[in-house]
Amino acid sequence: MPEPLHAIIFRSIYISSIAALLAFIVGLFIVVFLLKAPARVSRNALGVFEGLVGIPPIVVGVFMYMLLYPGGPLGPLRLLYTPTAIIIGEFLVALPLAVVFMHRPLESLWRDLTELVESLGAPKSKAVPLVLRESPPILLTAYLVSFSRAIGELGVALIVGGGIEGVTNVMTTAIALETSLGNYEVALKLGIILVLIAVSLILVLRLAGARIVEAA
Amino acid sequence: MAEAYRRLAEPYKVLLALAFLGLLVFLSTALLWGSQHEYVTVGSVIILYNLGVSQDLMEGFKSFSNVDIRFVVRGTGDLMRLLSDGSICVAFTASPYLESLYMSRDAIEWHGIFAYSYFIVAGPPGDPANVSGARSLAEVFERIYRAGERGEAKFVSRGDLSATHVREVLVWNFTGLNPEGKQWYVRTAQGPVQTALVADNMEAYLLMDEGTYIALKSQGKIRDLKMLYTNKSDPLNLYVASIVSSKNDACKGLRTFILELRDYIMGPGQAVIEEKYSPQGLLHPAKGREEELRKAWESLSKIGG
Repeated sequence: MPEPLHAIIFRSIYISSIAALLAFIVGLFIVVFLLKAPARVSRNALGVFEGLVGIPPIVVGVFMYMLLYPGGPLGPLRLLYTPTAIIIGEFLVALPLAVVFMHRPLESLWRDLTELVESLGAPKSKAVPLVLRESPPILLTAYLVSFSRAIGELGVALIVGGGIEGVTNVMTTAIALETSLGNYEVALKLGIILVLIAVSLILVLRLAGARIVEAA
Repeated sequence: MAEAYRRLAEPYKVLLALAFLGLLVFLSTALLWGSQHEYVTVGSVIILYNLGVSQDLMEGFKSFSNVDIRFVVRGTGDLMRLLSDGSICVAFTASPYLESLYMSRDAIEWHGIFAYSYFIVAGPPGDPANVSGARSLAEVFERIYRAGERGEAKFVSRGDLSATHVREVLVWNFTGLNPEGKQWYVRTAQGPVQTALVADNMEAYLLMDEGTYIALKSQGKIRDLKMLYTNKSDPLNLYVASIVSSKNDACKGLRTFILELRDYIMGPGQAVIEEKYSPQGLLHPAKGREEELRKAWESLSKIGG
């Protein structure tokens, strides 16, 4: 392998963590909007997001390609085969997951706590700080799930990233290339590293997250 | 109450700050990447990338210019589409049918056959169809067909309109036998390496190019698969370089560079192939056989679809 392994690993983590962060932030806004919206609207909108959770990343990749290729509507931005293109694509792939993973628990939290507050004879607004206090673990989970989805997907990275060495070659594209070259051992090694990174990063962030919650 | 609010706000401030920091990093790097210096994106089929030919040619050419080169490795169908879109500026491919399809649409330009390799038939070392005794490719296929019908042999086909697959279809047509739909005839619809591995694991026969066989054998990726038939007078597997159409705005600033690259591949690049790949039988430069190769390409390009 001409490109050092650590370069591929750092690139993967960098790209996926930013994509997951974007999905998390935008997802949070969507969830807040859905919680405020009438039940009928939020139920249908949530159904759409739930349906999109399983969207094959390769479909998002092809869609992004049609936008970004030189003759496409966003062609002049020259984003094709750049890390930015992967970040945007992985953001789209992870967004439905971020929304679904935040909406249900936050909704039930809000319902339980408003009931509690009202049963104590206080106005509904008093439930807001309580919801805020209870939500960090939910938010953290949503971010980590988005990150896992982003770092493990291949379709977007392959099609709009191109798997170019030194620029957009991430773990999954490296695995795909090594497989097509018949280097199954190398592909498996990369796969094991990918799993180890995803799991250990999530464990570390979870521990750190628990600290923050305790400190609050 | 105010105290409680203040304490609760802390983790959210941290989160918000992190979020903004992330956005800032994202935007600044996005801008940085956009302003990076000139580069050209080159597409290569798996076979040439696996051998290292694409990389060697581009490395050799790099000493003539300071433009960066980026590789995208795909099958010919993918590469033709990317080239006609202007997503890549140069492509190294190996499928006469697909190449002629895009050429007829004026979607790609300059079509230079720069290298070739020989076809071989590989199969299980026991050779149940006894193809090693055959005198022509057609006879090899007939023997495999008969052995297949007896349930003694299998055949693995690329099934992807690559030069190898097109050549295989031509030979079947020539014999008048049709293996489509037979139990012993398997299609992989995958690249040369994957298909060879499938044949190796299934103890099946396949048509492949000599370069890939030699490379896989020396890399230890295939265990039992044996070269059973080869004939240097049989038609050849052709490797072609194409560039993006001049009507396409993409790659426009790189036009001179791309034309220089073309001259390099057909000029000094031929010597690179001759010295590094020819002696082991992996690949041979087109130089000196251009006319013959062009005719072979034309007859192959009519088969497909």
